[in-house]
Amino acid sequence: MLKHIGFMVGMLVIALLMFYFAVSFESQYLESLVTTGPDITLDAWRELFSYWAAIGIIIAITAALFWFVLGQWVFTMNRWTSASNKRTVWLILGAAALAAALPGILLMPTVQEGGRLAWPFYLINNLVVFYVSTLLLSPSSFKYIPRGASLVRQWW
Amino acid sequence: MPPPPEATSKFSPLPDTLKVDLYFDATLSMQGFTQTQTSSTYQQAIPLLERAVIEGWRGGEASFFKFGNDTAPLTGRAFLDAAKPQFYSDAKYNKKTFIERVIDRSQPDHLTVIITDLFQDNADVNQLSAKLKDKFIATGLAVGVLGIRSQYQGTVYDVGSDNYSFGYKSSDKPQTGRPFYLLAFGSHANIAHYFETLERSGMSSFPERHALIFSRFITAHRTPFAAAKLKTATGISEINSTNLVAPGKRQEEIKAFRIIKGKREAIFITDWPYEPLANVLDHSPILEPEVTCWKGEEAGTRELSPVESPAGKAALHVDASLLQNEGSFNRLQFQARLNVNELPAAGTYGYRIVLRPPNPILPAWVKDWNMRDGDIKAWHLKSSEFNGARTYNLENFLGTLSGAVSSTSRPEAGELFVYMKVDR
Repeated sequence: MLKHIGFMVGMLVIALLMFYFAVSFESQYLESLVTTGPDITLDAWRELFSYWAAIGIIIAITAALFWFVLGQWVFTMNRWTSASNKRTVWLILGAAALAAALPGILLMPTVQEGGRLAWPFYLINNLVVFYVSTLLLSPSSFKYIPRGASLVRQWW
Repeated sequence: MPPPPEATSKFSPLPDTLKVDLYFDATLSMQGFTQTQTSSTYQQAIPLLERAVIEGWRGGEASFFKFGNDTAPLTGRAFLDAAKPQFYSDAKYNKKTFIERVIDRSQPDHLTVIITDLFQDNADVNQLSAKLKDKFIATGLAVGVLGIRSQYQGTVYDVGSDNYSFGYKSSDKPQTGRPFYLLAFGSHANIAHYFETLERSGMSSFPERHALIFSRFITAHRTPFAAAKLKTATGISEINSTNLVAPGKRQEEIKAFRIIKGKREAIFITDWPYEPLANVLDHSPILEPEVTCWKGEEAGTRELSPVESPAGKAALHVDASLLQNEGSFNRLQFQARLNVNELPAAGTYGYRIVLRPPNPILPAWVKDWNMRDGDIKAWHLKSSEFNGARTYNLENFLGTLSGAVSSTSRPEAGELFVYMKVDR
C-alpha cells in the first residue's frame, strides 16, 4: 500500500515541479515576446497565463492519478496480453490531459502581439505532466502501457 | 531605478486654526459706500468678514485694523464702524492708500485680507505687485482678489495719473455699483476656503462679484497617473511600476512599460480625471510638457543609477491637453510616442513630465471692470459721464500679478513619471 501512495505522491511532485520550474520559466520567456496593448498589463497577463497553466496541469495530473487508480484497483488482468488493451484507456486519458489546455487557449485575454505563443506551452505542459508521471509511475501491472515505458521501467 | 524625489511644492491642507488679519481702507473714496440711502452691499459685507473666519476655522481668530496713510488696530467691535461714514473722516488715515505698508506688516503664516477700492496709480501698482511677488507668490503662497460691486454715493478721489475727483452715484442696476475688493494674502487653501465661506455666509446673495486667486496651484490633486486606463497602446505593454522603480511615496504618479525587441515606435494614450481649483486664472486647454529623461546605468548595486539622457529625452514626444465638460476642464488627456530607434541603447529609461498651461489669461470681467486712462480724460471734460463702476489700473495690477506667477512659479496641471524597459 505504501508503494502505491508513494507512486501517487511522486506523480503530484512531478506536477508541482512542472508548475514551479517550467511555468515560471515560460512566463518569463513570454514576457520578452508578448506585447499586451491597452487592455491588460503584462504582469496581469502573465498571472493569467500561470493560472490557466496551473489549471491545465491540475487536470493533467488528475488524469494521470485516475489512470493509476484504474490500473491499481479497478482493472483486472487475467492474461498478460489483455494489458495492451488498456492502452486505449491511457490514450483517452492522455487526450483529456491535452484537452485541458483548451480553457487557457479560449479564455486568455487577447493581446496585441505574441499571445498565441502561450498555446504550445499549455499543450506541452499538460502532455509532459501526464506522460512523465504515467511513464515513470504507472501501477506495476500496467507499467509498460505508456509508450517508451519498456525502456525506463525495467528496474521498478 | 530609485523612486522619484518628493514633490517640491504641495498644495497645503487646510489648518484647524488660523489668524486672520483684516485691514479696512479708511481713505475718503471708501466713504461713498456708507452714504447710500439703503444699506449697501459693502455695509452688509462687513459683519460677514468676521463670521467667515469663525465659521471657516474651528480656531479661527480675526483681528481688525484700519489703514490709509497709517495703520491702527480696531479693538473689540470697532470694525463694525467701517459701515459708518465717520470711520472715513479721520485725516490721519484718509488721504492715501498705502497698501504696501500692510503687505510689509503681514505675516505669511496668517491670512491677511485688505478691504479696499484698489485705486492705485501706475507707480503704486508696480510697487504693490513687486512686494506681493516677493513676499507671497515667490514663496509658494497666493494672492486672492474678490471684487464686489456695491451701491455708492460719494466722491471718488485720485482717479488717474492727474488725480482727478469725480462724484458718483450708482443706480438700482447692480452693474452700476462701485467695486470694492478683498485682497487676500496667504496660502492658496486658506484664501480659497475664506472666499467659499464668505459665499456660504451670505455673499452669494450679492449680485455682482468675481473671485480670482493667483498662485502656483491650478489643481490641488496629485496626478492619478498609475490608475489611468490606457485608451490605446501600440507596440508597448504596461507593467507594474515595481518591476522598474523602487517603492516610494509617489507611486500613484508612475506608469511603467516594457517594449520588446524589434519595435521601432511605441505609442500610448491615456486620460484621467482632472479637478481644477476654483477661481484660478483661465488658460488654454493645450498643455506644454517639460520632459527630463534618465537612463538607468549599472552602478555595481542592485538598483540602477539614473544618468540624465538628452538622447532619451529627444526620443519621447508628448502631447497633453485638458478636456472640457460643461465649461470646465474635467479630464486630462496624455499621449506619449517613443521613437525607439532614437534611443541610444536598450535599457531602462525614466521620464519626468511636468504639464503646464501656457500663459494664463485674465478672465473677461477684469476688462469689464477696468478703468482706462483714455476714459478718464474724456470724463474730466464731461464729469457727468464718469463711470464709477470701474477700477483704475485693475487690469494692469492683475496682469502684473499674473505675470509674476508665470515668471516665478508657473502652475502645473500635472507631474507624472514614465519608466520604460526597452529591448533592442
